[in-house]
Amino acid sequence: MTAKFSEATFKSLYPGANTGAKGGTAIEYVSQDSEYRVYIPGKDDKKSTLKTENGDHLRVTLSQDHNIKGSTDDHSDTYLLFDGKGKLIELSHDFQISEGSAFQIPAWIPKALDIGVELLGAIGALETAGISEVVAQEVVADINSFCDTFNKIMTKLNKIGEDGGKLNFPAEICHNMNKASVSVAG
Amino acid sequence: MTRLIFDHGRFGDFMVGRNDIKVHDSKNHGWNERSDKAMHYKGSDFEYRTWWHSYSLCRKDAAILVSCKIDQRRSIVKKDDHMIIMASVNRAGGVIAVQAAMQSISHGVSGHTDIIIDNHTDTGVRLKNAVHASIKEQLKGKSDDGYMYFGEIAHTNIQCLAASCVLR
Repeated sequence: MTAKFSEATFKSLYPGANTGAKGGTAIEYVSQDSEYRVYIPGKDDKKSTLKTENGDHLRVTLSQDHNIKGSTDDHSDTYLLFDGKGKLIELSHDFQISEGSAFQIPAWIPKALDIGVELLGAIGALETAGISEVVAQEVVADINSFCDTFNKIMTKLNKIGEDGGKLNFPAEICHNMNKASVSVAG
Repeated sequence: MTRLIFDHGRFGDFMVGRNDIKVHDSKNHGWNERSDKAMHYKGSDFEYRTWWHSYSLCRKDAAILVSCKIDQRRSIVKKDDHMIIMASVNRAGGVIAVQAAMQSISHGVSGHTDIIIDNHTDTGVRLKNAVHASIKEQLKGKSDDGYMYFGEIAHTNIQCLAASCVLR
């Protein structure tokens, strides 16, 4: 099976947002008193692309902006690789803050080693809710990757703004990665 | 189908009910500022603002990511300090992991905590201590009680935040 991205699922995860921005290629929303934009994977040739790799893997590039009125936007490209079953198996980031220098966070493989599956809850309770142990393992690996993303970007963040919109950008990137992951299925 | 959600009203009610902070206006569950997208409260001798949380659900609603910005409202001449809290919470309202990033334009500094993973001790206390340690490092010997108090504010916020992740 080839992993597929669902545009409808992705858009549904942004209630109240403008899901038709930039000629229908992007979603614009307000969070924490700042404005952000995420391009919808597969709608633009250059931003937020979808590409099949290794037969059944799906490469999702997630392009995101922190919109700053009267100044250059902050940009982030997150590269996510999903296997044929929709499991996130590799990720990396390019990051550019206006008036700050660009930086890369090299590819790494999300692991469930730090956050154990027991932190999701009792296996019995999860099974009752229809969450298999395989899914539980994937979710803790996803959470590990979001935690690492926030931490890695914060470590390199080299410019702050008055309103905290740059400082909050890594949190938005994590939410958008989570929404993209939920929208990919095998 | 039972969904995992973040309940903003519940968060506000918990904040209003705390005796370590004083929410200034309890109507609308405390959300009365900035077009009802923020709440103002006093902690120690300082003024703070928590913004309406953003959240995203993990696959199969197995967990939820919740984040928010918290400001220390300084005087008219000094810019606000900011703190971002990023947490993952399980279906039972237990914190899986949490971290925070802080900045002070007033001092021209910023920093962040490590990733704090639940280890069956008090995650809120560990977050508070980590915020204090980061701010102490940022201030390099200078003192700023209102910025430092972000530690206590983070502690209060993460407890109310986790308790507001509920199944509906």
